[in-house]
Amino acid sequence: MDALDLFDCNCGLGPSRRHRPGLITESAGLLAELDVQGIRRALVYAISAEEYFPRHGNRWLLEQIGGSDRLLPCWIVMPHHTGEFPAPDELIGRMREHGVRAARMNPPSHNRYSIAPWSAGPLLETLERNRVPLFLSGTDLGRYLDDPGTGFTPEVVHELCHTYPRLPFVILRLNFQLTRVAVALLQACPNLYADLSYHDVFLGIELLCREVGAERLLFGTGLPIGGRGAALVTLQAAEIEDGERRRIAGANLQRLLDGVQW
Amino acid sequence: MSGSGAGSDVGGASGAGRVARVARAGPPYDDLVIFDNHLHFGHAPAVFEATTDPAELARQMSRIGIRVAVVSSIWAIFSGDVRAGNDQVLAALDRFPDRYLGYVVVHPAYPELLASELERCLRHPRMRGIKLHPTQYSHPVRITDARYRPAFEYARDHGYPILIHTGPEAQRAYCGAEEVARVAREFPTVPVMLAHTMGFDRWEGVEEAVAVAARLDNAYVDLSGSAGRHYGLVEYAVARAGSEKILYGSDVPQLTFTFPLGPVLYADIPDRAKENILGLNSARMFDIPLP
Repeated sequence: MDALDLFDCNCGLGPSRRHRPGLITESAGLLAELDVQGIRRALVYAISAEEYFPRHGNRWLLEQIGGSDRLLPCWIVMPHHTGEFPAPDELIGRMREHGVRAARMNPPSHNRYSIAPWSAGPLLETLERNRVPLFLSGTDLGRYLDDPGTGFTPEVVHELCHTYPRLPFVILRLNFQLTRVAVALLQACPNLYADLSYHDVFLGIELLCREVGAERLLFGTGLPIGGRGAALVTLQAAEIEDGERRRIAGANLQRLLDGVQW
Repeated sequence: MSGSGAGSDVGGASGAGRVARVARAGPPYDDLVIFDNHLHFGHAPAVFEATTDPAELARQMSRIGIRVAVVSSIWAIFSGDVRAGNDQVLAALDRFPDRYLGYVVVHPAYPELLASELERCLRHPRMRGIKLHPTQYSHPVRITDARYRPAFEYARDHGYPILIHTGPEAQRAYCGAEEVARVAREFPTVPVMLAHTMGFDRWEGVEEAVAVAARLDNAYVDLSGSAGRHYGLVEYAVARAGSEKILYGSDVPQLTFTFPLGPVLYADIPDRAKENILGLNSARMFDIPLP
């Protein structure tokens, strides 16, 4: 099998409230882990930006990975109305200044704001104008059904995708229990992409390639929580064309980042 | 991550270990001996399954390098049609004698069928165990419920292992690790496998299941549903329970062969520990001849 140029779309860094033995918290450890799995680059967010406070974590992230050509920053973003977070235009300026070409939101689980247009509209319109890909964590498509629903439902994701049709959205942790919903949603939303870091679906990559298209799928590890080699071996073993595998491995994510219009 | 566990031979994720070299070459992993302790035939109603055809599942096993899988019927678990589901497994054991071994499923809501299904199915020489799934019958039944008792007694008297679904949160009361441990202590000669290491998305479930496997000689964990979701699970379990207490299992076709496989192939543990998990433990548990 030819080596894949792997670019991880879902990689966290820093201490986490989900602590367990062996948790990687520093960039040196993360780079070593990427080497073990043969991953050249990773799009990295600060876990503390999601679990603690976005501005704090985003700043910490730049200090941790500054200058690395393998670890690319992804910022956690939120609406600005309370003054806790920069207004959209100021945010875009800072992202451009620091080379941050991707953003991530988790409204229900962590920062408790509304994703509706009257709340997140100015932020999402700005991200759309600049084509900054937006990764969605905490959606109901990325949780186990045993967990309580968050209100970040497939219907909400559908509405987001159609309200901001030029904004690339990425569902993180696409889970095995909602494949029937996910395929229909991806088919209905051409600007929606799927991260495969927790996609433990038997022949699921094959299904998504067939029904949605390989260009909409992104390799991810879920580090530092995701199991070592799980998503990697799953992608390697998928019964798909080598070109599809290469696109999923990293070319699709690179294309999204290249599409940012400052 | 600190490697630990059985043996002192070369291994680990990034060293010169044989398993790591095989892993880097990609599938199929034909140079390894991989047995899957946790496969199903039939449909789970809420989950997409690309195929439940035994022939196609065997072909997919070959694409990965999995030699033998031990199968139970999801049909028997979910539908209540216990006989039809077990028949599906029996038919596959005859049709694919080199690829499948079987578990008989017994259903606590049908106690009148329990003894007869055990007798009928375990008469087949390739039926090698019993599968219990306390949370997915018509209504959940705790693993400590007396209705399961004949199955444990049969396993004790005839030397069969039992695979038990375990899970965290709402499932804990029915088949959490400590619930399973109560039964395992009562039947200390019956090997009891805690499917999914109780974890899924909950690390605390992993800790509980591994603690039980470490504490009880007859308790084991399988990696389906959990190893791919928790970095370091394999190393953690090996360090605490020993590699002899961990089995590779997939839960295909509900889940993948590969999510629990990658964390073993790339684990920071000795090669011998990986070989135990991938196949040697199942070989001992189910009396599977090694190639």
